[in-house]
Amino acid sequence: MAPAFVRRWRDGPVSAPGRHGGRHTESVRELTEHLRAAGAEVEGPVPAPGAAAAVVELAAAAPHGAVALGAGEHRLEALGVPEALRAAGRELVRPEAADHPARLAAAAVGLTGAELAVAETGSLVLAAGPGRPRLVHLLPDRHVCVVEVSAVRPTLAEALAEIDPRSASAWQFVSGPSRTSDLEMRAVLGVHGPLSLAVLLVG
Amino acid sequence: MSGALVTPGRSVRERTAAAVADPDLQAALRNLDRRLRTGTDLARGRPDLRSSAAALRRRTTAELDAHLTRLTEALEEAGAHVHPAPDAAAAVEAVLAVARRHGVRRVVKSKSMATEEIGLAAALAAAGIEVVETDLGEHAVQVAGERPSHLITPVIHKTVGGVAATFRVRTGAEVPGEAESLTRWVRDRLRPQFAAADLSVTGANFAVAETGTLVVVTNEGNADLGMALAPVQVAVVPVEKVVPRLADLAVLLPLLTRAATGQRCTSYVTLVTGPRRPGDLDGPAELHVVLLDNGRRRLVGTRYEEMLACVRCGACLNACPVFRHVSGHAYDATYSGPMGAVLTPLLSGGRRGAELPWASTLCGACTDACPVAIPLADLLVHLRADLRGGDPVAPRPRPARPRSLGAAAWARTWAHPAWYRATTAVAARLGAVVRILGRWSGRDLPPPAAVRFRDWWRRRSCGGGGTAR
Ligand code: SF4
Repeated sequence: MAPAFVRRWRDGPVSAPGRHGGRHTESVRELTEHLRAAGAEVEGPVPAPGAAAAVVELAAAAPHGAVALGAGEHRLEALGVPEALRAAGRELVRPEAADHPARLAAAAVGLTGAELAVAETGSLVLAAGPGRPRLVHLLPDRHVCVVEVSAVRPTLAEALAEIDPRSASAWQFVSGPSRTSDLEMRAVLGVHGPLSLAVLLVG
Repeated sequence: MSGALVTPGRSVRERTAAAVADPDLQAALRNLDRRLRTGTDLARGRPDLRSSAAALRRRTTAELDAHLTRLTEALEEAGAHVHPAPDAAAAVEAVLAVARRHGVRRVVKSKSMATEEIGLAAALAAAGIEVVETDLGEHAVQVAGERPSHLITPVIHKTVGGVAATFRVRTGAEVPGEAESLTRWVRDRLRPQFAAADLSVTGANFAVAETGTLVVVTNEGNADLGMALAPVQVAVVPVEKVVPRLADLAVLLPLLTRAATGQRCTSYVTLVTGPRRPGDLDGPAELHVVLLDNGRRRLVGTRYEEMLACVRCGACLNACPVFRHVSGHAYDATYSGPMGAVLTPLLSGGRRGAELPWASTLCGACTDACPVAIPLADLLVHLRADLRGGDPVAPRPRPARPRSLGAAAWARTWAHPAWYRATTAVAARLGAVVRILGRWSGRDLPPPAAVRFRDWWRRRSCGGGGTAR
């Protein structure tokens, strides 16, 4: 049986704003602040109908090359993202291209969807699996991630309580663009992974 | 025990003198100021986090073998192959066997102190396998033919200019001398290596016994790229990395990253459970986990057990006034700074780094900075005593120490309250005599108080309100 997060994604957006009341709004604000502090761009929250256009815009910052899809097709299709990207003239790379890493490496943008997000640590939580290769958010120069507002959890403890790590070979917590501080203990963005990270909050 | 833990060299005294006299090194070490207080500030700012982490780590190490059994079962259930390695040689052999079976020619490695400890890169190279270190700092160290000088920041002993110069000399390429473009240069240089790798070697920052999950923490994304691209992964995991439950990460992860680099969370934290699944589009088809003991399990139940709580954050290095002046190479050991001065002699049974516990002022800055409250300064003091007998954790009878007759008589007298009362009463009256005796003996014998505490206390509680004069 598909793990809970896959079912949630297939069934389309299950935005339940106000699930945690004021605390939840506070969490979204905190997530935004912490991601920005780590060098990420954060947009939204935008309502679901506006999400596709917003993704196109975030992808436009890296115009030279294809957009690789890695969020599970159902979800992105529910938001109308692939259609909008195609209409904007972007070439799309299907997740199966992970078999040909060179194609992914040539893509300008890797597009993912987060299963959860953690406000306290400023993290996006991605699970590997069918339609969701690990390389999509590692090889292209820009990583664009769609996060449902209802998927934001205030603390790491709360997020971990919802995860069974055995349900995927890799769960990745992404908390900023690839970075190093190996040189004189000063931060430089963009080492082996993406040079930039853009997050779109939906809901 | 592999010889790779420490290379023989001059004495610690000579090495520190040379380090202090090296202007390039001293210029580079000034950068340590950026992280001087990460650990200490965390320990003071979140004492709750620190105390729960300290308790959690101690509970775990006290039952280390039980958790390791659990971890092994869970790893195997998830489809990983587990190789228990009692020592460095066994660990190296386990990795070499995997490499041979898959006909491996190229390995991409992410930073792991455990692989440094067992000398893995050298062993693979000796077997004709090309090894590429992919962490930026570690890559610089590899190209220079050096060893890492810091747990978290391996090339802290060089400035950006120094790193660029090394690359220029060793590769003959035009290498940019500024941090951002140098980083891009390394990125472009290493991308093809990831794609060509037959095997990725990683460490793990934690291993969750409950679920058989390895936790890999990086900022650069190099470990993730290696794991996703290479068809086989070997993780070398020291036994003390085990944590009982997934929920424990909620305490340990933020603590580790804040103490190490001051970040809320590093850019990448990956939970790996087993190899690639059916339907997965990338990730290793085979996952091997080498569980490394190498002198750790024998620390359980000794006064040094607490050292197994260490999460390798490097905060004690950043805080240590000695490390800040001499850097890691002066210790001539895989692990340097205060934690290295404790760990090196412990892991080697006293054969290596026996002089390191003396290379400390015992100021206690390390103890203050440690996010899991390891009493490093106390352990250094214990080691100074215990290393005199060789192996600090070997069980041995306490030598019956001959004591002077006078001291023996004194001890016997003051062991009885009545005699104590009587003699101190006399001493209080004969203060002048005692002072003269003190001067005559050539020692600083403190003069007895004019009024004994017990007299003051009795007067105070009976008479009400009397004060000592
Ligand atoms: S001893 Fe403490 S401060 Fe030093 S590296 Fe280990 S956990 Fe960090």
